Amino acid sequence: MGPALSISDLRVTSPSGRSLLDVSSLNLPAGKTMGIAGPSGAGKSTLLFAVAGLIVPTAGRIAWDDTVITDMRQRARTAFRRRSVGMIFQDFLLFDELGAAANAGVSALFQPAAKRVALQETAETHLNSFGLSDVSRPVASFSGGERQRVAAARALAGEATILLADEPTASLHREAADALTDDLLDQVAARGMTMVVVSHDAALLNRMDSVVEITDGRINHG
Amino acid sequence: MVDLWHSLSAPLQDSLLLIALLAPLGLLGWITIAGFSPLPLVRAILWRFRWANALFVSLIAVSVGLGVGILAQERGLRVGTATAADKFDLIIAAPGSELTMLMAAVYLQPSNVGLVDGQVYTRIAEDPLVDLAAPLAFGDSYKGAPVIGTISEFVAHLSGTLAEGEIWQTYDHAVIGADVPLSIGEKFEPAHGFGFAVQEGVHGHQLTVMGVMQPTGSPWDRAILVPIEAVWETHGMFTGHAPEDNDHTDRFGPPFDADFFPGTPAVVVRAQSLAAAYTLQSTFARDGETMAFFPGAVLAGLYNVMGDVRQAMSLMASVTQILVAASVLMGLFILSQLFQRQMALLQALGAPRRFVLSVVWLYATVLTIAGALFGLVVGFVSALVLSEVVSDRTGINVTAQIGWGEVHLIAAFVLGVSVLSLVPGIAVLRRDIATSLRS
Repeated sequence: MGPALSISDLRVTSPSGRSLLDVSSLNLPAGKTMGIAGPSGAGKSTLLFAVAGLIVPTAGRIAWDDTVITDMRQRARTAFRRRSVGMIFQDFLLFDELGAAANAGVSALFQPAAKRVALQETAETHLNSFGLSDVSRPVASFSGGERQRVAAARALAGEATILLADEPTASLHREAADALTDDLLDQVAARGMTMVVVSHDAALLNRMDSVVEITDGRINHG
Repeated sequence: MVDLWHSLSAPLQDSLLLIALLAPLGLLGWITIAGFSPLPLVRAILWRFRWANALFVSLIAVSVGLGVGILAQERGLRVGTATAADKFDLIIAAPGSELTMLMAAVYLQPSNVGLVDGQVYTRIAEDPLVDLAAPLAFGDSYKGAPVIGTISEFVAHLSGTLAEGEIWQTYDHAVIGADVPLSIGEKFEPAHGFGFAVQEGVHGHQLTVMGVMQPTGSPWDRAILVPIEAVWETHGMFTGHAPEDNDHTDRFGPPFDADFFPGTPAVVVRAQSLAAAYTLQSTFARDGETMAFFPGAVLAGLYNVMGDVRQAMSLMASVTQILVAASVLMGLFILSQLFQRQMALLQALGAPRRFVLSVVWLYATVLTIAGALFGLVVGFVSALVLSEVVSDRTGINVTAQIGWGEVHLIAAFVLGVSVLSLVPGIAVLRRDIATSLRS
């Protein structure tokens, strides 16, 4: 089961002092899914990056169960992500010259040697379950839907209990977006993961357990 | 410790120095990469930015090649000039510039020098310590090839047995150097003078090629050698022998009659022994009528000057390498921007900082090593071409070879750049991950 997310008095400001995010309280129960909606520039991705430990907040507290990532040093936050977090990005962020399997299993390259084979096998299993069979072909030749499936397989390849996705369906046409949503939610449900998705995609948001909307860095609970 | 080092053979010292230069590279690689497998990503980055990488490698190769080429060429020139002077143990000439005489007698560069008269020549030739005293006579040429008057013993001294044909039998015969574009039996008429001052048809004296010398690796390979009597006679002088003895068929070489000896700009002496050579040099350097010098000693002095030039060139090469290293560093910063998002992605996926550093470092080191190895080839080829040009223009056999010095230069360059390559790697790590992911 994925951990519960707990955010309190979170503030993120730009180097110039402008407020980017101001969240007094936000909670997500363990193993639940949450969508974050809102206009462009409202602070959705900033919130997602903050809960991933990629942004150091100006103030406040972010905890996944008992793990308070805002108290961690960078090395510990990186180790936390490696252990517990899978991430998907809007424009896939794949290594175009590598095959689907190599991309999905890229984390194996920096894992201890004992874990590499298992992680690579898991990645390929996910690719197959997502309907991708030619796993050695460079992903540069893949369609958008196929590329995002590779990115999803990468996020799920490890033992992550948290899935964070930033506009995962934005680059896909409707049919591919729906197929990816089905695949992702099946996996999340099967593994009891906690999932946070930033999206403009109403179809995707409708399938979340909860949705919050951000406007000008502040949350309007939905 | 110093004594132990000096007791080692030169190749062993060079090998150990190379190991000392490469060992830190291996250690740095191990510290950076151990436990990770960055190669697939490095391969992907190398292929993705292949044209930028190729340009980068080419720039490194050209700059490294220049340094290597200059050093190899300088050494080749030094070895070539020394080899060309090998057969010239001691030169005795009228007082003047030893360097000018060296250039005239060994490297056959035209010059105006004084003459040694018959009395002095006889004193040299009859000295019991002298094994060979070969007078030389310059002044004529044929199609750019200098025509040198000398004695048959000197031809044997230079060439050993002839490659083809036989030594001259009359004043109309000639023996040519290995690179003279004439063949046995061919007739030709030498012109008076050399280079721009050449005057054709002055002598009206035809010569026939009788023999071809073995290659000597010196400008003498392009020379035409004739009996010295022929040169003197052609220029309207005595032949070195009393007129009543003049006979074109059997009066060649020493002994010469001092009263009928027209003079020679240089006498090439082969002494009975090394000690005899020093005695002769001392004798004829002190008599005031002549100067006597060892070409090797003059060359050594010249090499000292060249050594300064070499040091200057080495310094220039080193400064160039430092500038190249700085450029490489700048280039790596620029190149690392190209895959900044991928590195940020790795960090977002939980890659340890050392893994990201290992990717950037290995990428930079692969480019540097490729550039340096390519530079070695460029340097060798450029030195080869330069050697051909120098050999072609001077007749001195200049051979370009890559030596330990160049290998050490390259190893030091690779080590330096690989250490510097950590800097862009660290810079990548210092960039904000979120910003890079959004870029």
